[in-house]
Amino acid sequence: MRIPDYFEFHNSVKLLSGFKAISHIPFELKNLNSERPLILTDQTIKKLGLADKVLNAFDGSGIVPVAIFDDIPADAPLNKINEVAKFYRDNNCDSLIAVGGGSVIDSAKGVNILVSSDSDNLMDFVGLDKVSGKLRPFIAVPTTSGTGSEATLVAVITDTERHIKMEFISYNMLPDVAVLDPEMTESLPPHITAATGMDALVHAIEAYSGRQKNPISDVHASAAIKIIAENLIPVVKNGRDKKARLAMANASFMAGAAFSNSMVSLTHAIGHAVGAVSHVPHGVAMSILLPWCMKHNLKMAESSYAEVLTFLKKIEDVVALSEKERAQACINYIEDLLVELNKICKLPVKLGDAGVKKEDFDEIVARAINDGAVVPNPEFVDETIIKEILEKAF
Amino acid sequence: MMKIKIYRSFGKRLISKVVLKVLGNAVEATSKVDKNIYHELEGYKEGCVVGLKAYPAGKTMFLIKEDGVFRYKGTKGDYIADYLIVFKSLDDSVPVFLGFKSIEAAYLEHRFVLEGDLMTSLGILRALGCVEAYLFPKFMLKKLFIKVPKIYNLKIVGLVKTVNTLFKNWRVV
Ligand SMILES: [Fe+2]
Repeated sequence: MRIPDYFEFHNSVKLLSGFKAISHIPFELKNLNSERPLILTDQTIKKLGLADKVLNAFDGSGIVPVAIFDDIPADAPLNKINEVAKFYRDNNCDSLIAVGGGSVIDSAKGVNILVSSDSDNLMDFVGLDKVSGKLRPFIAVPTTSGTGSEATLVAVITDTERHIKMEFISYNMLPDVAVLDPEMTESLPPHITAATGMDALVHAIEAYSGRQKNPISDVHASAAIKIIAENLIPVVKNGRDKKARLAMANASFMAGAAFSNSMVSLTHAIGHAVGAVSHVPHGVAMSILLPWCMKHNLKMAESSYAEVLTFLKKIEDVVALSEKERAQACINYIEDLLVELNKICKLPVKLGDAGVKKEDFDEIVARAINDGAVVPNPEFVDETIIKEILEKAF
Repeated sequence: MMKIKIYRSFGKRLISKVVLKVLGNAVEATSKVDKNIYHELEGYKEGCVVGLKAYPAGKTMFLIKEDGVFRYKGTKGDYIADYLIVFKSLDDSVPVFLGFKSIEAAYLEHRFVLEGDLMTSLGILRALGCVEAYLFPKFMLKKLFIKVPKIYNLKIVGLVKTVNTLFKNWRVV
Protein backbone atom coordinates (compact mmCIF):
# COMPACT_ATOMS: atom_id res chain seq x y z
CA MET A 1 0.00 0.00 0.00
CA ARG A 2 1.36 3.39 -1.02
CA ILE A 3 1.83 5.86 1.80
CA PRO A 4 1.89 9.41 0.43
CA ASP A 5 4.88 11.64 1.22
CA TYR A 6 2.50 13.72 3.24
CA PHE A 7 -1.22 13.73 3.86
CA GLU A 8 -3.74 15.10 6.33
CA PHE A 9 -6.79 13.33 7.65
CA HIS A 10 -9.42 14.90 9.82
CA ASN A 11 -12.81 13.60 10.81
CA SER A 12 -13.89 14.88 14.18
CA VAL A 13 -17.59 14.19 13.60
CA LYS A 14 -19.32 12.15 16.30
CA LEU A 15 -21.55 9.68 14.54
CA LEU A 16 -24.95 8.58 15.81
CA SER A 17 -26.09 5.75 13.56
CA GLY A 18 -29.18 3.65 13.95
CA PHE A 19 -32.85 3.39 14.62
CA LYS A 20 -34.25 6.36 16.61
CA ALA A 21 -30.85 8.04 16.43
CA ILE A 22 -32.61 11.41 16.20
CA SER A 23 -33.92 10.96 19.74
CA HIS A 24 -30.38 11.56 21.00
CA ILE A 25 -30.11 15.04 19.48
CA PRO A 26 -31.13 16.87 22.73
CA PHE A 27 -28.59 14.82 24.72
CA GLU A 28 -25.86 15.71 22.24
CA LEU A 29 -26.80 19.39 22.46
CA LYS A 30 -26.38 19.28 26.24
CA ASN A 31 -23.06 17.55 25.68
CA LEU A 32 -22.07 20.53 23.55
CA ASN A 33 -23.24 22.97 26.27
CA SER A 34 -26.09 24.17 24.07
CA GLU A 35 -29.73 24.72 24.84
CA ARG A 36 -30.92 27.25 22.28
CA PRO A 37 -30.61 25.48 18.90
CA LEU A 38 -31.80 26.93 15.63
CA ILE A 39 -33.06 24.38 13.09
CA LEU A 40 -32.60 24.72 9.32
CA THR A 41 -34.55 22.64 6.85
CA ASP A 42 -36.45 22.95 3.55
CA GLN A 43 -40.06 22.76 2.40
CA THR A 44 -39.81 19.21 1.02
CA ILE A 45 -38.46 17.89 4.31
CA LYS A 46 -41.22 19.72 6.14
CA LYS A 47 -43.94 18.29 3.88
CA LEU A 48 -42.57 14.78 4.34
CA GLY A 49 -42.99 15.24 8.11
CA LEU A 50 -39.27 14.77 8.76
CA ALA A 51 -38.83 18.18 10.40
CA ASP A 52 -41.64 17.28 12.83
CA LYS A 53 -39.88 14.01 13.65
CA VAL A 54 -36.80 15.97 14.69
CA LEU A 55 -38.89 18.46 16.69
CA ASN A 56 -40.70 15.62 18.47
CA ALA A 57 -37.35 14.24 19.53
CA PHE A 58 -37.13 17.18 21.97
CA ASP A 59 -40.14 15.89 23.95
CA GLY A 60 -39.16 15.55 27.59
CA SER A 61 -35.63 16.81 27.00
CA GLY A 62 -35.96 20.19 28.69
CA ILE A 63 -34.70 21.88 25.51
CA VAL A 64 -36.93 23.79 23.13
CA PRO A 65 -35.46 24.89 19.78
CA VAL A 66 -35.56 28.67 19.36
CA ALA A 67 -37.00 28.46 15.85
CA ILE A 68 -37.09 26.47 12.66
CA PHE A 69 -36.25 27.96 9.26
CA ASP A 70 -38.12 25.60 6.97
CA ASP A 71 -37.57 27.45 3.71
CA ILE A 72 -33.87 26.99 2.95
CA PRO A 73 -33.72 27.03 -0.87
CA ALA A 74 -31.62 24.75 -3.07
CA ASP A 75 -28.06 25.94 -3.82
CA ALA A 76 -27.67 27.58 -0.39
CA PRO A 77 -28.18 31.25 -1.40
CA LEU A 78 -26.17 33.93 0.38
CA ASN A 79 -29.11 36.24 1.18
CA LYS A 80 -30.89 33.45 3.07
CA ILE A 81 -27.70 32.62 4.97
CA ASN A 82 -27.30 36.27 6.00
CA GLU A 83 -30.95 36.34 7.12
CA VAL A 84 -30.60 33.19 9.22
CA ALA A 85 -27.31 34.40 10.73
CA LYS A 86 -28.93 37.70 11.75
CA PHE A 87 -31.82 35.82 13.36
CA TYR A 88 -29.36 33.55 15.19
CA ARG A 89 -27.52 36.55 16.65
CA ASP A 90 -30.65 38.60 17.46
CA ASN A 91 -32.21 35.67 19.33
CA ASN A 92 -29.14 34.46 21.19
CA CYS A 93 -29.19 31.02 19.63
CA ASP A 94 -26.23 28.88 20.62
CA SER A 95 -26.18 25.99 18.11
CA LEU A 96 -27.37 24.84 14.70
CA ILE A 97 -29.20 21.75 13.52
CA ALA A 98 -29.42 21.10 9.77
CA VAL A 99 -32.09 18.64 8.64
CA GLY A 100 -31.86 18.02 4.91
CA GLY A 101 -29.68 17.29 1.92
CA GLY A 102 -26.47 18.94 0.77
CA SER A 103 -27.96 22.44 0.31
CA VAL A 104 -29.40 22.66 3.82
CA ILE A 105 -26.22 21.32 5.42
CA ASP A 106 -24.06 23.67 3.31
CA SER A 107 -26.32 26.59 4.32
CA ALA A 108 -25.86 25.69 7.97
CA LYS A 109 -22.08 25.59 7.44
CA GLY A 110 -22.29 29.10 5.95
CA VAL A 111 -24.42 30.39 8.84
CA ASN A 112 -22.00 28.82 11.29
CA ILE A 113 -19.00 30.61 9.75
CA LEU A 114 -20.79 33.94 10.17
CA VAL A 115 -22.20 33.47 13.67
CA SER A 116 -18.85 32.17 14.94
CA SER A 117 -17.01 35.31 13.80
CA ASP A 118 -17.37 39.07 14.05
CA SER A 119 -17.78 39.40 10.30
CA ASP A 120 -21.07 39.62 8.48
CA ASN A 121 -19.44 39.09 5.09
CA LEU A 122 -18.97 35.48 4.01
CA MET A 123 -16.55 36.64 1.27
CA ASP A 124 -13.97 37.14 4.04
CA PHE A 125 -13.79 33.36 4.42
CA VAL A 126 -13.76 32.16 0.81
CA GLY A 127 -10.82 29.91 0.10
CA LEU A 128 -8.81 26.91 1.21
CA ASP A 129 -8.28 26.59 4.97
CA LYS A 130 -9.39 30.20 5.52
CA VAL A 131 -11.99 29.50 8.23
CA SER A 132 -10.12 29.31 11.50
CA GLY A 133 -11.03 28.59 15.10
CA LYS A 134 -13.77 26.47 16.62
CA LEU A 135 -17.21 27.19 15.24
CA ARG A 136 -20.54 26.99 17.10
CA PRO A 137 -22.02 23.56 17.95
CA PHE A 138 -23.51 22.06 14.81
CA ILE A 139 -25.53 18.88 14.30
CA ALA A 140 -26.25 17.54 10.80
CA VAL A 141 -29.16 15.22 10.09
CA PRO A 142 -28.88 14.12 6.43
CA THR A 143 -32.09 13.18 4.64
CA THR A 144 -30.39 11.69 1.58
CA SER A 145 -27.63 9.09 1.40
CA GLY A 146 -25.19 10.51 -1.09
CA THR A 147 -23.70 13.97 -0.69
CA GLY A 148 -21.83 13.02 2.48
CA SER A 149 -22.01 16.72 3.49
CA GLU A 150 -22.39 15.61 7.10
CA ALA A 151 -18.78 14.39 6.95
CA THR A 152 -17.13 16.90 4.63
CA LEU A 153 -15.05 20.03 4.98
CA VAL A 154 -16.62 21.75 1.98
CA ALA A 155 -19.53 24.15 1.54
CA VAL A 156 -20.68 25.75 -1.70
CA ILE A 157 -22.84 28.84 -1.34
CA THR A 158 -24.47 30.82 -4.14
CA ASP A 159 -24.39 34.58 -4.36
CA THR A 160 -27.56 34.93 -6.41
CA GLU A 161 -27.12 38.69 -6.91
CA ARG A 162 -23.62 38.44 -8.39
CA HIS A 163 -24.33 35.04 -9.99
CA ILE A 164 -21.27 33.39 -8.48
CA LYS A 165 -20.67 30.33 -6.37
CA MET A 166 -18.45 30.68 -3.34
CA GLU A 167 -16.45 27.69 -2.16
CA PHE A 168 -15.27 27.20 1.39
CA ILE A 169 -12.89 24.43 2.36
CA SER A 170 -11.90 24.07 5.99
CA TYR A 171 -11.69 21.23 8.48
CA ASN A 172 -13.26 23.61 11.00
CA MET A 173 -16.61 23.48 9.21
CA LEU A 174 -17.22 19.81 9.95
CA PRO A 175 -20.33 19.22 12.04
CA ASP A 176 -19.81 18.17 15.66
CA VAL A 177 -22.39 15.41 15.32
CA ALA A 178 -23.94 13.57 12.35
CA VAL A 179 -27.19 11.71 12.91
CA LEU A 180 -27.91 8.81 10.57
CA ASP A 181 -31.45 7.60 11.20
CA PRO A 182 -33.08 5.34 8.59
CA GLU A 183 -36.43 7.04 9.23
CA MET A 184 -34.99 10.22 7.71
CA THR A 185 -34.27 8.65 4.32
CA GLU A 186 -36.96 6.01 3.90
CA SER A 187 -39.36 8.25 1.98
CA LEU A 188 -36.83 9.02 -0.77
CA PRO A 189 -38.22 7.89 -4.17
CA PRO A 190 -36.30 5.14 -6.04
CA HIS A 191 -34.66 7.34 -8.71
CA ILE A 192 -33.32 9.80 -6.10
CA THR A 193 -32.17 6.90 -3.94
CA ALA A 194 -30.32 5.50 -6.96
CA ALA A 195 -28.76 8.81 -8.02
CA THR A 196 -27.63 9.81 -4.52
CA GLY A 197 -26.34 6.28 -3.88
CA MET A 198 -24.30 6.47 -7.07
CA ASP A 199 -22.94 9.85 -5.93
CA ALA A 200 -21.68 8.16 -2.75
CA LEU A 201 -20.12 5.38 -4.84
CA VAL A 202 -18.32 7.97 -7.01
CA HIS A 203 -17.03 9.74 -3.86
CA ALA A 204 -15.59 6.46 -2.62
CA ILE A 205 -14.09 5.34 -5.94
CA GLU A 206 -12.56 8.76 -6.70
CA ALA A 207 -11.15 9.07 -3.18
CA TYR A 208 -9.69 5.56 -3.49
CA SER A 209 -8.10 6.14 -6.89
CA GLY A 210 -7.09 9.82 -6.77
CA ARG A 211 -3.60 11.26 -6.40
CA GLN A 212 -4.21 12.18 -2.76
CA LYS A 213 -5.38 8.73 -1.67
CA ASN A 214 -4.09 7.72 1.75
CA PRO A 215 -4.47 4.63 3.94
CA ILE A 216 -6.97 6.21 6.35
CA SER A 217 -9.26 7.50 3.59
CA ASP A 218 -8.87 4.16 1.81
CA VAL A 219 -10.32 2.31 4.80
CA HIS A 220 -13.39 4.55 4.73
CA ALA A 221 -13.74 4.38 0.94
CA SER A 222 -13.37 0.60 0.70
CA ALA A 223 -15.97 -0.01 3.42
CA ALA A 224 -18.34 2.42 1.69
CA ILE A 225 -17.90 0.62 -1.66
CA LYS A 226 -18.63 -2.78 -0.06
CA ILE A 227 -21.79 -1.49 1.62
CA ILE A 228 -23.04 0.20 -1.55
CA ALA A 229 -22.43 -2.96 -3.60
CA GLU A 230 -24.55 -4.95 -1.15
CA ASN A 231 -27.32 -2.45 -0.51
CA LEU A 232 -27.88 -0.06 -3.42
CA ILE A 233 -30.04 -2.32 -5.60
CA PRO A 234 -32.09 -3.68 -2.63
CA VAL A 235 -32.79 -0.17 -1.30
CA VAL A 236 -33.79 1.16 -4.74
CA LYS A 237 -36.17 -1.79 -5.12
CA ASN A 238 -37.57 -1.44 -1.61
CA GLY A 239 -37.16 1.97 -0.02
CA ARG A 240 -38.84 0.77 3.20
CA ASP A 241 -35.96 -1.64 3.86
CA LYS A 242 -34.69 0.17 6.97
CA LYS A 243 -31.56 -1.93 7.35
CA ALA A 244 -30.50 -1.16 3.78
CA ARG A 245 -31.35 2.52 4.32
CA LEU A 246 -29.14 2.64 7.40
CA ALA A 247 -26.36 0.82 5.55
CA MET A 248 -26.49 3.35 2.71
CA ALA A 249 -26.44 6.25 5.19
CA ASN A 250 -23.29 4.76 6.70
CA ALA A 251 -21.74 4.31 3.27
CA SER A 252 -22.52 7.90 2.36
CA PHE A 253 -20.93 9.14 5.60
CA MET A 254 -17.79 7.06 5.09
CA ALA A 255 -17.47 8.02 1.44
CA GLY A 256 -17.87 11.65 2.57
CA ALA A 257 -15.11 11.27 5.15
CA ALA A 258 -12.89 9.64 2.50
CA PHE A 259 -13.30 12.32 -0.17
CA SER A 260 -13.25 15.12 2.37
CA ASN A 261 -9.60 14.17 2.91
CA SER A 262 -8.55 12.62 -0.42
CA MET A 263 -10.70 14.76 -2.70
CA VAL A 264 -12.77 13.74 -5.70
CA SER A 265 -11.56 13.90 -9.28
CA LEU A 266 -12.57 14.03 -12.94
CA THR A 267 -16.14 12.69 -12.66
CA HIS A 268 -16.89 15.47 -10.21
CA ALA A 269 -15.05 18.14 -12.20
CA ILE A 270 -17.16 17.40 -15.28
CA GLY A 271 -20.27 16.62 -13.21
CA HIS A 272 -20.20 19.97 -11.42
CA ALA A 273 -20.03 21.72 -14.80
CA VAL A 274 -22.81 19.56 -16.29
CA GLY A 275 -24.95 20.46 -13.27
CA ALA A 276 -24.24 24.18 -13.53
CA VAL A 277 -24.67 24.49 -17.31
CA SER A 278 -27.32 21.88 -18.16
CA HIS A 279 -29.01 21.60 -14.73
CA VAL A 280 -28.56 17.85 -14.49
CA PRO A 281 -29.02 16.60 -10.90
CA HIS A 282 -25.61 15.88 -9.35
CA GLY A 283 -26.15 12.16 -8.71
CA VAL A 284 -27.45 11.61 -12.26
CA ALA A 285 -24.42 13.35 -13.78
CA MET A 286 -22.15 11.29 -11.52
CA SER A 287 -23.59 7.95 -12.55
CA ILE A 288 -23.50 8.73 -16.29
CA LEU A 289 -19.94 10.08 -16.25
CA LEU A 290 -18.30 7.60 -13.87
CA PRO A 291 -17.55 4.73 -16.31
CA TRP A 292 -16.25 7.10 -19.00
CA CYS A 293 -13.94 8.90 -16.58
CA MET A 294 -12.74 5.55 -15.22
CA LYS A 295 -11.94 4.44 -18.78
CA HIS A 296 -9.87 7.58 -19.27
CA ASN A 297 -8.03 6.95 -15.95
CA LEU A 298 -7.64 3.21 -16.45
CA LYS A 299 -3.90 3.18 -17.17
CA MET A 300 -2.87 5.32 -14.23
CA ALA A 301 -5.47 3.97 -11.78
CA GLU A 302 -5.29 0.31 -12.81
CA SER A 303 -4.21 -1.05 -9.45
CA SER A 304 -6.78 1.05 -7.55
CA TYR A 305 -9.63 -0.10 -9.81
CA ALA A 306 -8.44 -3.71 -9.51
CA GLU A 307 -8.70 -3.37 -5.74
CA VAL A 308 -12.10 -1.68 -5.98
CA LEU A 309 -13.38 -4.77 -7.81
CA THR A 310 -12.51 -6.89 -4.77
CA PHE A 311 -14.81 -4.66 -2.70
CA LEU A 312 -17.62 -4.85 -5.26
CA LYS A 313 -17.60 -8.60 -5.85
CA LYS A 314 -17.06 -11.81 -3.93
CA ILE A 315 -13.39 -12.78 -3.73
CA GLU A 316 -14.01 -16.12 -5.51
CA ASP A 317 -15.30 -14.19 -8.53
CA VAL A 318 -12.12 -12.14 -8.90
CA VAL A 319 -9.34 -14.38 -7.66
CA ALA A 320 -8.52 -15.85 -11.08
CA LEU A 321 -8.22 -12.46 -12.77
CA SER A 322 -5.01 -10.54 -13.37
CA GLU A 323 -4.72 -6.95 -12.13
CA LYS A 324 -5.41 -5.64 -15.62
CA GLU A 325 -8.48 -7.86 -15.99
CA ARG A 326 -9.76 -6.85 -12.56
CA ALA A 327 -9.49 -3.16 -13.39
CA GLN A 328 -11.43 -3.64 -16.62
CA ALA A 329 -13.98 -5.86 -14.82
CA CYS A 330 -14.46 -3.07 -12.30
CA ILE A 331 -15.56 -0.69 -15.05
CA ASN A 332 -17.78 -3.41 -16.55
CA TYR A 333 -19.38 -3.91 -13.12
CA ILE A 334 -20.24 -0.19 -12.91
CA GLU A 335 -21.72 -0.26 -16.42
CA ASP A 336 -23.86 -3.29 -15.56
CA LEU A 337 -24.99 -1.62 -12.35
CA LEU A 338 -26.12 1.45 -14.29
CA VAL A 339 -28.05 -0.68 -16.79
CA GLU A 340 -29.82 -2.41 -13.89
CA LEU A 341 -30.65 0.88 -12.16
CA ASN A 342 -31.97 2.19 -15.46
CA LYS A 343 -34.28 -0.85 -15.69
CA ILE A 344 -35.51 -0.47 -12.10
CA CYS A 345 -36.00 3.29 -11.85
CA LYS A 346 -35.16 4.83 -15.24
CA LEU A 347 -31.89 6.39 -14.01
CA PRO A 348 -30.50 7.94 -17.24
CA VAL A 349 -27.38 6.34 -18.68
CA LYS A 350 -26.60 9.00 -21.29
CA LEU A 351 -26.11 12.74 -20.97
CA GLY A 352 -28.51 13.29 -23.89
CA ASP A 353 -31.27 11.53 -21.94
CA ALA A 354 -30.56 13.71 -18.90
CA GLY A 355 -31.22 16.97 -20.73
CA VAL A 356 -27.70 17.93 -21.85
CA LYS A 357 -27.47 19.52 -25.30
CA LYS A 358 -24.41 19.35 -27.53
CA GLU A 359 -24.41 23.17 -27.64
CA ASP A 360 -23.66 23.09 -23.89
CA PHE A 361 -20.37 21.24 -24.36
CA ASP A 362 -18.06 24.23 -24.82
CA GLU A 363 -19.30 25.92 -21.66
CA ILE A 364 -19.15 22.63 -19.73
CA VAL A 365 -15.53 22.09 -20.86
CA ALA A 366 -14.53 25.65 -19.89
CA ARG A 367 -15.97 25.19 -16.41
CA ALA A 368 -14.76 21.64 -15.84
CA ILE A 369 -11.10 22.39 -16.61
CA ASN A 370 -11.14 25.08 -13.92
CA ASP A 371 -12.75 22.86 -11.29
CA GLY A 372 -10.43 22.01 -8.39
CA ALA A 373 -11.38 18.34 -8.78
CA VAL A 374 -9.21 18.00 -11.91
CA VAL A 375 -6.05 18.38 -9.81
CA PRO A 376 -6.25 15.05 -7.90
CA ASN A 377 -7.20 13.12 -11.05
CA PRO A 378 -4.79 10.21 -11.56
CA GLU A 379 -4.46 10.77 -15.33
CA PHE A 380 -3.65 13.95 -17.25
CA VAL A 381 -6.69 16.03 -18.24
CA ASP A 382 -7.13 18.87 -20.70
CA GLU A 383 -10.00 20.50 -22.57
CA THR A 384 -9.81 18.05 -25.50
CA ILE A 385 -10.05 15.04 -23.18
CA ILE A 386 -13.07 16.48 -21.35
CA LYS A 387 -14.80 17.12 -24.66
CA GLU A 388 -14.12 13.54 -25.77
CA ILE A 389 -15.61 12.19 -22.53
CA LEU A 390 -18.71 14.34 -23.02
CA GLU A 391 -19.09 13.05 -26.60
CA LYS A 392 -18.81 9.44 -25.44
CA ALA A 393 -21.23 9.92 -22.55
CA PHE A 394 -23.74 11.69 -24.78
CA MET B 1 12.55 27.91 33.52
CA MET B 2 14.16 27.01 30.20
CA LYS B 3 14.82 29.84 27.82
CA ILE B 4 13.06 29.32 24.49
CA LYS B 5 15.40 29.22 21.56
CA ILE B 6 14.16 28.65 18.02
CA TYR B 7 16.69 27.88 15.33
CA ARG B 8 16.36 30.44 12.56
CA SER B 9 17.15 29.04 9.13
CA PHE B 10 18.75 31.85 7.15
CA GLY B 11 19.34 29.44 4.26
CA LYS B 12 15.64 28.68 3.80
CA ARG B 13 14.78 32.35 4.17
CA LEU B 14 17.36 33.27 1.58
CA ILE B 15 16.10 30.62 -0.85
CA SER B 16 12.51 31.80 -0.47
CA LYS B 17 13.52 35.43 -0.91
CA VAL B 18 15.52 34.75 -4.06
CA VAL B 19 12.99 32.35 -5.58
CA LEU B 20 10.03 34.65 -4.93
CA LYS B 21 11.87 37.35 -6.88
CA VAL B 22 12.86 35.01 -9.72
CA LEU B 23 9.41 33.43 -9.87
CA GLY B 24 7.60 36.77 -9.86
CA ASN B 25 9.76 38.08 -12.69
CA ALA B 26 9.49 34.77 -14.54
CA VAL B 27 5.69 35.01 -14.50
CA GLU B 28 5.90 38.54 -15.94
CA ALA B 29 8.48 37.52 -18.55
CA THR B 30 7.07 34.19 -19.73
CA SER B 31 3.48 35.32 -20.01
CA LYS B 32 4.70 37.68 -22.76
CA VAL B 33 6.39 34.90 -24.75
CA ASP B 34 4.26 31.81 -24.02
CA LYS B 35 0.72 31.70 -25.38
CA ASN B 36 -0.28 28.98 -22.92
CA ILE B 37 0.72 31.03 -19.85
CA TYR B 38 -0.87 34.11 -21.40
CA HIS B 39 -4.06 32.11 -22.05
CA GLU B 40 -4.21 30.77 -18.48
CA LEU B 41 -3.97 34.31 -17.07
CA GLU B 42 -6.10 35.98 -19.73
CA GLY B 43 -9.37 35.64 -17.80
CA TYR B 44 -8.24 37.57 -14.72
CA LYS B 45 -9.44 41.16 -14.59
CA GLU B 46 -7.12 44.17 -14.94
CA GLY B 47 -5.82 45.19 -11.54
CA CYS B 48 -6.15 41.66 -10.18
CA VAL B 49 -3.66 41.17 -7.32
CA VAL B 50 -1.99 37.82 -6.64
CA GLY B 51 0.08 37.43 -3.47
CA LEU B 52 2.51 34.67 -2.56
CA LYS B 53 4.00 34.14 0.89
CA ALA B 54 6.73 31.58 1.53
CA TYR B 55 5.81 31.26 5.21
CA PRO B 56 3.18 32.82 7.50
CA ALA B 57 5.49 35.44 9.03
CA GLY B 58 7.22 36.15 5.71
CA LYS B 59 6.74 39.01 3.29
CA THR B 60 4.18 38.78 0.49
CA MET B 61 5.38 38.93 -3.10
CA PHE B 62 2.77 40.64 -5.26
CA LEU B 63 1.89 40.31 -8.92
CA ILE B 64 -0.61 42.76 -10.38
CA LYS B 65 -2.27 42.51 -13.76
CA GLU B 66 -1.52 45.60 -15.84
CA ASP B 67 -2.07 45.90 -19.60
CA GLY B 68 -2.94 42.22 -19.83
CA VAL B 69 0.17 40.92 -18.07
CA PHE B 70 0.86 40.09 -14.42
CA ARG B 71 3.73 42.34 -13.38
CA TYR B 72 6.13 41.76 -10.54
CA LYS B 73 5.64 44.32 -7.77
CA GLY B 74 8.06 43.08 -5.13
CA THR B 75 7.26 42.71 -1.46
CA LYS B 76 7.04 46.28 -0.28
CA GLY B 77 3.58 47.25 -1.55
CA ASP B 78 0.49 47.44 0.60
CA TYR B 79 -1.97 45.68 -1.68
CA ILE B 80 -5.06 43.65 -0.91
CA ALA B 81 -4.67 40.36 -2.77
CA ASP B 82 -7.58 38.87 -4.71
CA TYR B 83 -5.75 35.55 -4.45
CA LEU B 84 -3.28 34.99 -1.65
CA ILE B 85 -1.21 31.82 -1.35
CA VAL B 86 0.41 31.40 2.07
CA PHE B 87 2.63 28.36 2.60
CA LYS B 88 2.14 26.88 6.05
CA SER B 89 5.88 26.72 6.76
CA LEU B 90 9.28 27.20 5.17
CA ASP B 91 9.54 23.41 4.86
CA ASP B 92 6.41 23.49 2.68
CA SER B 93 7.55 26.27 0.35
CA VAL B 94 11.25 25.54 -0.11
CA PRO B 95 10.78 22.13 -1.87
CA VAL B 96 8.32 23.81 -4.27
CA PHE B 97 10.69 26.71 -4.87
CA LEU B 98 13.60 24.34 -5.57
CA GLY B 99 11.61 22.23 -8.01
CA PHE B 100 11.31 19.12 -5.85
CA LYS B 101 7.54 19.41 -5.56
CA SER B 102 4.97 20.85 -7.94
CA ILE B 103 2.60 23.58 -6.89
CA GLU B 104 -0.26 21.16 -7.69
CA ALA B 105 1.13 18.55 -5.30
CA ALA B 106 1.51 21.22 -2.63
CA TYR B 107 -2.17 22.14 -3.19
CA LEU B 108 -3.23 18.49 -2.87
CA GLU B 109 -1.23 18.07 0.31
CA HIS B 110 -2.74 21.16 1.99
CA ARG B 111 0.71 22.73 2.19
CA PHE B 112 -0.65 26.22 1.71
CA VAL B 113 -3.69 28.28 2.53
CA LEU B 114 -5.39 29.87 -0.45
CA GLU B 115 -7.45 32.95 0.30
CA GLY B 116 -9.76 33.97 -2.52
CA ASP B 117 -12.15 32.47 -5.03
CA LEU B 118 -11.21 28.79 -5.32
CA MET B 119 -13.44 28.38 -8.36
CA THR B 120 -11.24 30.73 -10.42
CA SER B 121 -7.86 30.09 -8.82
CA LEU B 122 -6.84 27.08 -10.89
CA GLY B 123 -5.61 29.16 -13.84
CA ILE B 124 -3.01 30.77 -11.56
CA LEU B 125 -1.80 27.38 -10.30
CA ARG B 126 -1.61 26.02 -13.86
CA ALA B 127 0.26 29.13 -15.05
CA LEU B 128 2.77 28.69 -12.22
CA GLY B 129 3.19 25.07 -13.36
CA CYS B 130 3.98 26.27 -16.89
CA VAL B 131 6.47 28.83 -15.52
CA GLU B 132 8.16 25.96 -13.65
CA ALA B 133 8.50 24.23 -17.03
CA TYR B 134 10.75 27.12 -18.15
CA LEU B 135 12.75 27.32 -14.93
CA PHE B 136 13.60 23.68 -14.25
CA PRO B 137 15.35 21.00 -16.33
CA LYS B 138 13.31 18.26 -18.00
CA PHE B 139 14.49 15.41 -15.73
CA MET B 140 13.13 17.32 -12.71
CA LEU B 141 9.90 18.26 -14.43
CA LYS B 142 9.18 14.63 -15.31
CA LYS B 143 9.08 13.83 -11.61
CA LEU B 144 6.80 16.78 -10.88
CA PHE B 145 4.01 16.34 -13.42
CA ILE B 146 1.91 13.48 -14.84
CA LYS B 147 2.46 15.27 -18.13
CA VAL B 148 4.98 18.10 -18.29
CA PRO B 149 3.20 21.34 -19.29
CA LYS B 150 3.85 22.18 -22.93
CA ILE B 151 5.89 25.30 -23.45
CA TYR B 152 5.26 27.34 -26.56
CA ASN B 153 8.66 28.94 -26.90
CA LEU B 154 12.26 27.88 -26.54
CA LYS B 155 13.24 27.35 -22.91
CA ILE B 156 16.22 29.63 -23.44
CA VAL B 157 13.92 32.43 -24.62
CA GLY B 158 11.91 32.19 -21.38
CA LEU B 159 15.09 32.17 -19.30
CA VAL B 160 16.69 35.10 -21.13
CA LYS B 161 13.46 37.10 -20.88
CA THR B 162 13.28 36.31 -17.15
CA VAL B 163 16.85 37.56 -16.63
CA ASN B 164 15.97 40.65 -18.67
CA THR B 165 12.91 41.31 -16.54
CA LEU B 166 14.95 40.78 -13.38
CA PHE B 167 17.33 43.53 -14.57
CA LYS B 168 14.46 45.77 -15.58
CA ASN B 169 12.84 45.29 -12.15
CA TRP B 170 16.08 45.35 -10.17
CA ARG B 171 14.88 48.29 -8.10
CA VAL B 172 11.63 46.50 -7.22
CA VAL B 173 12.29 44.53 -4.05
FE1 LIG C 1 -20.69 14.18 -5.32
